[in-house]
Amino acid sequence: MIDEKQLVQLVQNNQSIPVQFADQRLLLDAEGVLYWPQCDLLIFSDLHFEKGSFLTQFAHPVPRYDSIDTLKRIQASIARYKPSTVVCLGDSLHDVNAVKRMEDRLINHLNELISSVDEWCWVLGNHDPDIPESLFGLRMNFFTKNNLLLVHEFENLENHKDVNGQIIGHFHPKVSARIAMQKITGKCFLQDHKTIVMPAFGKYTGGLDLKNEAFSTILDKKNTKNFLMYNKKIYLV
Amino acid sequence: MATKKRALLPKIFSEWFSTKGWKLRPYQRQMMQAFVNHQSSLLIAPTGAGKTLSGFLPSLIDLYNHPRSTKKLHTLYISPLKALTYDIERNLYQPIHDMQLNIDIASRTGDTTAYQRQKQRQKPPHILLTTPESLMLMLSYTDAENIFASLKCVIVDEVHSFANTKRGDFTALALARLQSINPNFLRVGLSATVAYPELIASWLGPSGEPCEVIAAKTRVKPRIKILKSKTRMPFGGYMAKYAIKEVYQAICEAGTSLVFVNTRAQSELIFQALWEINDKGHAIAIYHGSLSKEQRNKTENMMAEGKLKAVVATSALELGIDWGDVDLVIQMGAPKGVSRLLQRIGRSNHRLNEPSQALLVPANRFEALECLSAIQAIKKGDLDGDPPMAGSLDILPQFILNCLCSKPASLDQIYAQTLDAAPYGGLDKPTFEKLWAYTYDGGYALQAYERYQRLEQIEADLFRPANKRVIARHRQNIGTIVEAGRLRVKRLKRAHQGKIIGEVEEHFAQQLVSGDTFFFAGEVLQFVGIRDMVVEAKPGKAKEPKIPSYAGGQMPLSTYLADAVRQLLNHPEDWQRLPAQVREWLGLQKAFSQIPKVNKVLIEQFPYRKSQFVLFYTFEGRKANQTLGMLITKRMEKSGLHPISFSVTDYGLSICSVKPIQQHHIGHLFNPDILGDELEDWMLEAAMLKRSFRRVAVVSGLIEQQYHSQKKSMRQVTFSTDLIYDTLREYDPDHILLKVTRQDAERELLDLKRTADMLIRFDKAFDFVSLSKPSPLAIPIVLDVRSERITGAGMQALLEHANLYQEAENMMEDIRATLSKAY
Repeated sequence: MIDEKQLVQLVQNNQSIPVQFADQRLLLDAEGVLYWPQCDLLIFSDLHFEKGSFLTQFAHPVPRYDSIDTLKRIQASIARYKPSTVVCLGDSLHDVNAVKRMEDRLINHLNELISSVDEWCWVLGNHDPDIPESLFGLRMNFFTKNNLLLVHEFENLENHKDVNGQIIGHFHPKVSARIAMQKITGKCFLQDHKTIVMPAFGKYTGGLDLKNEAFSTILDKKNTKNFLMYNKKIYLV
Repeated sequence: MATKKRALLPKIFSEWFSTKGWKLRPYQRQMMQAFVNHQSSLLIAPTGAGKTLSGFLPSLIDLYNHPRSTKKLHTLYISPLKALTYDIERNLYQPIHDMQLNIDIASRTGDTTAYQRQKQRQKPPHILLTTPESLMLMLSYTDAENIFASLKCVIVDEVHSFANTKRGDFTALALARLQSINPNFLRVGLSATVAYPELIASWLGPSGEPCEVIAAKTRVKPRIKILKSKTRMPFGGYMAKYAIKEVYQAICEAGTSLVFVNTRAQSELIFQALWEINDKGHAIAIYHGSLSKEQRNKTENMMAEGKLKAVVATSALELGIDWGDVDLVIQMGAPKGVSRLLQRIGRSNHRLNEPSQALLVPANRFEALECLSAIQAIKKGDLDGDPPMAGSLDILPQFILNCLCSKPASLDQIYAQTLDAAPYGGLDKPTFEKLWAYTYDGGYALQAYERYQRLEQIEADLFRPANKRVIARHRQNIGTIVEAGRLRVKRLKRAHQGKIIGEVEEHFAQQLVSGDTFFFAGEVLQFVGIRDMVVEAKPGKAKEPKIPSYAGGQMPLSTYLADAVRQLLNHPEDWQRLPAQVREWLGLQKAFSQIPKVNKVLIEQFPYRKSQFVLFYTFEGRKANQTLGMLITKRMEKSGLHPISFSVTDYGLSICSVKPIQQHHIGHLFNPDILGDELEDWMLEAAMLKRSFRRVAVVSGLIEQQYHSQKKSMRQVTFSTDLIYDTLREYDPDHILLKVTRQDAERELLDLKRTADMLIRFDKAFDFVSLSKPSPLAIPIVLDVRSERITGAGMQALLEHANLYQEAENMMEDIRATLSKAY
């Protein structure tokens, strides 16, 4: 668990923003992770490990350093919040063969990180319906705690008992803001009364613009807040 | 002598010449002689001198003298524009038809259907007209050796437009490859008048050996005037719409006019404005590269038939297409370069011995200075042009793969062929080896697997593409020009049905909302929506639409002209040749601020549009100003001055920041030591380098632009290449693509040497003026909206200011409570 002084520092530096959501206090971090102090739980979404090597199979000679970089940033975020539980919100692997292509030293590194926390939960997503045994940690289709549902794709909350809000991934949201005649674009968190959409954390992940129709089907547009991440800081715009 | 003449020009040809009322010109005879002597040649002639015919004449005669029974390729014609190949095909058809020659011509471009291509491969025409990209594609076929074995001559049209461009490098490589297949063909270059003909001659010649230069006599110097308008000339802007009535008047008085503009948006605006006052109902047309092929062909045909009074055109028309008799060329907006201006003026009056008539219409007062400087240069016979640059490296992986698609080869074989292309004569082997390694498997330092290779080794020293997918992907992505993403425009007649009338840039289309109106293809269209990668729009009723802001055709001023403008400013005795309004504007500048001196840099500081601006008048050209902008803003960032963005023109650099720059900052900012050790790092971080990387990534095949004929959205490409760039810098800093990016930036964007010279020359030599608002001279520069964003504290300061978050404190209390409970 992060100590109070460091947390205050983060908030004062615009590196983290506290929000109230479904009776819970959460912190949206400028690195694209969400920290839930009451449960001492840290959420990552859409890691897309081995997307680089996936592309190289199709003769794209892109450099395959994305997994190294994603891991490095996961490690840094864990070091920042020191959570007891980590939840990965689906699409952690880019495809079903991702782990087969992953270098051994990276698999070992990831397993060390998994072992360093009390509990590591892989919520499964559309890209990774199954996660190979070689990776440690628990597998589940969704995660619930204190009336919150943590799941990859948007769900109808009526299907879940005692849940009054959900945190989802899948969409890779990004937003453009216009400030003093300048346009700023970046990945973002979206929040309305019942849903938080997390930004994608993986290195080679693109973004879906907030204007896309897909968002109007899951969010109450008028009451949606956009938290824009820009250059290692986060702002409500 | 007489017999020799007859030997050169067969009777049937000389008869054809006389029926046309033409005489063989001396340079045409020289070209024929060179062909007979088996010498490559470069013809330098002003536009309208019958250049194209001169290029083809030797081939036509050779085909007539030595008829070929079987169909085999004899002459290959390479043109920089697709449109030009159609035009040439039409023009060549005439003599062939008149003389009943048994010669086959065909053209092959990106528009040629698969069926026609197949036919051409089986039965090649005698003369094939093509573009560099299509030629490269043909060279990638396994039967390339067969197709080109019989080749006798390659004609490269408008060679001057290839100099110092990636497209030129690409073409030089294609010629080198042809040379390796068939070492005996002749090269014939056709070029407009240029500053350094010998440079083009060595570009064209095999292995950098210059070919023979044949120059047509320059004709009488053109008559050029600056329009002295009675209407108020604007301070800023690039449209020159203010003078529309006088321009219309000039069109009415001349027989046929060509109205040249600098951007596509400008062509739309001017075209619309001319029609609004066209009470005489003259036939005025529009021509630019965004219009569909059918639209352009229609205009070309009408012009050739003499049915048009005037055409409003962008640089798409500058190159060779024959426009019949043009009496007057009107240049709206500054000409941007002496050679370019001459080229445009050359479109008028094809009778060689009469002077061309041209009218320059400066769009703003700065441009009036540019126009006068250009006129003075033409009078003195000065031409501008850049020295040759080393060939661009990002094309080489494409070239390597292209060669291997045709036939397996070794590294050394392809390296030798590369050296044969003039721009690559100085390429060192280690660099080539790295580019080869990149083509082979990406060439990454940390490569755990060898499974994903683009090449496959079949013998000790023999390589070929690893599989069919690699070949297909390569063929679909051949080309070097990375365009802004484009969407086609459909003019709707009823729901979702209508005709495609052209293309606009993706970012322009994306800023439109339903109901917005814009000028396109000469009419006001109302945006309906984007469907299946097509912009759908219906004819609109609005009078004042949003103007297409598509980027096409923005051009930099030649550095020569920028310097000429600085000289002009310092010679007030020459000012009387400027329009009165411009003189008055310079007078205002003198009173309000200062006129920039030759030996000092003028620096103005003023608030404008909620931000602070500082303007450096360097007159060193766009690239040097760009470099300076990058360096100074980086130092401002370090000193906490929060720069937000900068923009450059050919004259100066303007920086926008949150905090004002004071005189005491200048000594620290505008100082030769900004070129110090950190330079490399600074450069690599700049957003501009990422843009270069994006180009390099597409050209070198890292990211594809086209696959299965579906264009990937440019925006998607942008995003991923930026990420790849960062990743490479962090994990593989010595990777060859980073070096290539650096080189690309230096070619296209930066001029370190000139910037360094400037900083040393003007060290401590500046005049700093603090003003309450932009000076008269500053207005055209600050109105230029194309600016370079700086990622950093400046934007963060703005964001912090705009951050809506206020509840943080209250919320923090709750969280503190939660945390302390846990402890």
